[in-house]
Amino acid sequence: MSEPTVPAPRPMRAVVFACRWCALLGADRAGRERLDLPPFFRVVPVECAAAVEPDLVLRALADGADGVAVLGCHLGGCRHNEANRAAKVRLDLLGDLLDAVGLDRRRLLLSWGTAHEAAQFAGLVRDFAAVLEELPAPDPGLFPLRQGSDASC
Amino acid sequence: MSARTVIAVCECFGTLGRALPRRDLEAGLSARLAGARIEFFPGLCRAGDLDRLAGLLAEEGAAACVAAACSPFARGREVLAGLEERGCAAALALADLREGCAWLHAQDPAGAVAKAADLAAMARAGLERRGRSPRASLPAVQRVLVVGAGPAGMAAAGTLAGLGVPVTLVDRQDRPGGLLRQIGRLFPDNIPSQDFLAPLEEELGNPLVSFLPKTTLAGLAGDPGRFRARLANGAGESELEAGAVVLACGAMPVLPEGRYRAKDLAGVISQMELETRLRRAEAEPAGWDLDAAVFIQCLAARDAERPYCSTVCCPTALKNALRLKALRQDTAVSILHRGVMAPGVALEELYRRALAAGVRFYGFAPESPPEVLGQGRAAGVQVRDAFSGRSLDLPASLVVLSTPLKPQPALEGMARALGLRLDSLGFACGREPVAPLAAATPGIFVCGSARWPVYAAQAADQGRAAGIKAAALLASGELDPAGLGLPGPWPGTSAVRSAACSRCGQCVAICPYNACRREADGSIAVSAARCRGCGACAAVCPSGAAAVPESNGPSLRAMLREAMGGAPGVDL
Amino acid sequence: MRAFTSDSDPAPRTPALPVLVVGGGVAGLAAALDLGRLGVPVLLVERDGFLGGQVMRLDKLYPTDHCGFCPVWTESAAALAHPLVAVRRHTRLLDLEPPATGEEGAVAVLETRVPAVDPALCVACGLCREACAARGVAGAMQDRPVDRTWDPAGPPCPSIDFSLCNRCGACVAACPVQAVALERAPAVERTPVADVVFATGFAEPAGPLAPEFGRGSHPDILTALEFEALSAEANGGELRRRSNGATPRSLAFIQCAGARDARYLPYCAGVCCMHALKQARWARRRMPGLACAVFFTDLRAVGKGYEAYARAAADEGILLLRSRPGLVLAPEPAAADAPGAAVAVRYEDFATGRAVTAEFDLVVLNGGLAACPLPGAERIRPKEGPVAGRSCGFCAEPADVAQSVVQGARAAALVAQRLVRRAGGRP
Repeated sequence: MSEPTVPAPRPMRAVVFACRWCALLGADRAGRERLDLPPFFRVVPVECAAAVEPDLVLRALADGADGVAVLGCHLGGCRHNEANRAAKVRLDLLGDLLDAVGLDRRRLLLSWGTAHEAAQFAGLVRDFAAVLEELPAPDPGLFPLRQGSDASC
Repeated sequence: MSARTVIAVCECFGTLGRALPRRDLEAGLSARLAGARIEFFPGLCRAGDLDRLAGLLAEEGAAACVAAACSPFARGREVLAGLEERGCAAALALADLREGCAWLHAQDPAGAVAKAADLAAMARAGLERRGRSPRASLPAVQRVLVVGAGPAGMAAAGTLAGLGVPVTLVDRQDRPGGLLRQIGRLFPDNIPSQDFLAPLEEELGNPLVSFLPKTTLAGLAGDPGRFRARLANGAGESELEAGAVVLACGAMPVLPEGRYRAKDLAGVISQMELETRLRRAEAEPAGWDLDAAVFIQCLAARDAERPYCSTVCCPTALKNALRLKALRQDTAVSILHRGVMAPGVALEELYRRALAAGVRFYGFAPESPPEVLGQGRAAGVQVRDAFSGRSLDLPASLVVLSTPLKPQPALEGMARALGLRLDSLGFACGREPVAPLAAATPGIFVCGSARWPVYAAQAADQGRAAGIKAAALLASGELDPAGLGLPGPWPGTSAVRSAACSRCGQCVAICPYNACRREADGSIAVSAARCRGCGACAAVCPSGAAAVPESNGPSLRAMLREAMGGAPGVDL
Repeated sequence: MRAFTSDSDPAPRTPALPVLVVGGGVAGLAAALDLGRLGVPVLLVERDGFLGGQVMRLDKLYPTDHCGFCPVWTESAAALAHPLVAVRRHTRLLDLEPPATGEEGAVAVLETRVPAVDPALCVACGLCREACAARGVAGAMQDRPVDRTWDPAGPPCPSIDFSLCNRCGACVAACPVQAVALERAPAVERTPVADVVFATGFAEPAGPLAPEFGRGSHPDILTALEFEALSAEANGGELRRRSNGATPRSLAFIQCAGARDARYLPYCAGVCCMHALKQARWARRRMPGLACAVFFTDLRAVGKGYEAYARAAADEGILLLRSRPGLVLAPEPAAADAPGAAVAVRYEDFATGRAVTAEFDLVVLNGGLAACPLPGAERIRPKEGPVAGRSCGFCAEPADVAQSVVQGARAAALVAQRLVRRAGGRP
């Protein structure tokens, strides 16, 4: 049996699901304004926040993300006939689930129409980075299939 | 020659290198994009570079190409469009290395390079697993159904016919005109309503218009381009196929009932009744001898039960006050109001004319409404003037009550059949603010007072607007599913794999467009005409049966793995 | 377009000449898109460098509370992408000349003033700014358009401030796509058009209008659009007074300032009451302690959902006062140096019947909105008839966003019907 290896500390990573209407516009504007942000996040454009299923969020966390953000339009401003309301209900529930399994709901950041302007997007990203840094590392037993984990399956 | 995926990196004329040094970027990309062909271009949005890339893709026989360039809001989309114009058969994706990376992380080049490599790898992984939605043209029936033949419906039908589109116009009454038939003159210029209706009626004489009197809409099925409407009249029901439907069923006035003693005093009447009396008097002015009249505004409006302003009542009162003055100059006319709602140039000018004609205006607060006095018949109105605080006694033998318009009782059922949302007051909604007449479902339009109380000219404007939109939808004879939705790249449409579908119906419940439907045999099908590719069904499907090919589960999951630096992970 | 077929010539034809749409604001965009989608070619001219007009300058919209650009940029992008809509930005209609004999329509005289950095060519690489920073004058090249409005439907092009530029030409040489030129003569062209839709919108007239409101007399007395710009600058954070950069504690909106006034603008501009309510609600959302008062004559909240919006404003603690102030006094110059010198508003309090003076750190004057002219309107053929209706949006009659887009479509419908009749279309 080989010595259990201590996994090297991974750099902080977050996935940002951004609807391609309000949310992606905010990200683009932050770029236009050349706002300085830490490069820990990766934006995944989606057609609507309603397309983000809880399973995707959990997979992102299982794949090594420290946090996942879902950015959609204002409630009442969804281009897809209010589909973001259903998304909010589902993702708020997912937050409860994250708390229940010990992952902490603060790993899931939801924003409905508040990140469509440059400074707001930047502020949201910086605040998220600060929150994620403070959170304790999750129990490795939650992610037995993560590479580098010394749990076997 | 192996068909490698091509990663075309735009250097933005060397400036990308400020945050993403070329050597480091090349090394980072090669490490993360094993097996792909990586090429750098000075300025990918330029014709020369696009030609070169198109040639390279052809030479490589590439099935997929990632353009690692600037934001889709800058020139990124143009790069993809340029490749499509050059006939590239490869699947294309954009990775935003500029606004999304270089411009945000100039202070951390190492982190920026790692992110750029991840973004390119994400785009490639998503691209290689994503599908293409079928884009078959949908038939567009060359006929529009217009429900309601008031000024809005008449203008819609007239416009459609004028643009060469056959139209079926239905109304539950036996002739067109709606509420306007009961109104003698229209503000702001006091023209006879017949003069307003006549040109609209003439347009209805177009042979392309088929007017069905005493007919209502009983139900609607089908999809954009091919709706099936159930029409009901005295003889029974019939079915009509239509490419689009315009709802113009109007609104109806609230009745004063017993408010302000309307039921127990003669001479306390509604505006609609005043219209009738004025029409008679204007035709035969000899017997008219009104000494004093008082209008009371905002009856049963802007209160807890109906918390809205009905738009038309103040201009109507101004118009009718002037008509009273025209019949007999020395009639004392007063308007008791909670604000004179006459916005704009024409209506403010109407207000000034009323002032100049000697109409008196007194504001009252909602907490202290006026009191109508009299025995058997109206004698006067007592009101506390909100400005001076003094109580005034206004003698009046005619008290005219302005009530709001409210939604037709039939509107709720029709809205449900058409998939139109209703607001909290029961009026139909479009997509505010830039598409106020359009429902979420393409081909369904609402106009006139069914959407919100409007006056005749506004109703006709909205009818014409709905008419041209319906005509434009059907103009080419076919519907392109990609052209039906929101502007921008087509997200594709959902499809449900019956082999995996458990028929739970969650997609049907969540679909914002009623595109996911349960068929007669219990299976689930998606209407390509209604689906807008939002992905809500795919997100809620427990078995992965529902998916939009362009953003399917495997492609999103692969993107997530690449976002984490390419952890192999396990695709469960 | 099917409407242009006839029994003798059943193949659909596209009209040969485009319809000119003057103005690329929400009304013009609606007209252009409806015509284009119907199959009618459109020439859309817009004076500014971006589409969307005044709405792009609005921080938020009522009653949806969306940002101004959000619902509009997709329409702009759609117009730019549509194969039948030709968009010419930085282009003004100078005049319309009558069409050649026997024809209908007009000849449009268009002037295009491409800015020094041509947005049609610019890729926003930034090399011009780097060159200017190295060899030019600091601040001469701005990283955004002259009017500071980002156009989301195009790359973030820089602009040159010619009051600072020393014309060294470094930017011209540095540009890899020849997008920069320091001298550009305006180009005037004449192009025949089949018909014209006017959608030139509105502007705030220059000059103080009613002097008793003190417009232009103090940096903390602003017009509606100046306040929108101030709001946008705050970028979601706190507002700042223009006089001393301090955080305002109080904000007043004065409705009908110079409007509904026979001496100046006799009409009602229609949109200002809702506009003020929206500005007040958003100011308080961002700065919860801010005292907001709206001085109105008639609070005209008549559109769909507007009354509910007004009630929400009152419920949120915004003071709605029925009174038209008689005087707005800027602080004395000496007192202006003292921190916190506020603007005085003198009005009649109808509850007590007394004249009251209240002080506010910022005062916004609403009501001064005037329709933009319609160049050459009288020279189009055929002349006005029962279905003329060529003008739409605020340039025709004060209109909010929803009304403007409806009228744009209505103008398009009337123009299209005329074209069909002219083409002898069936029937």
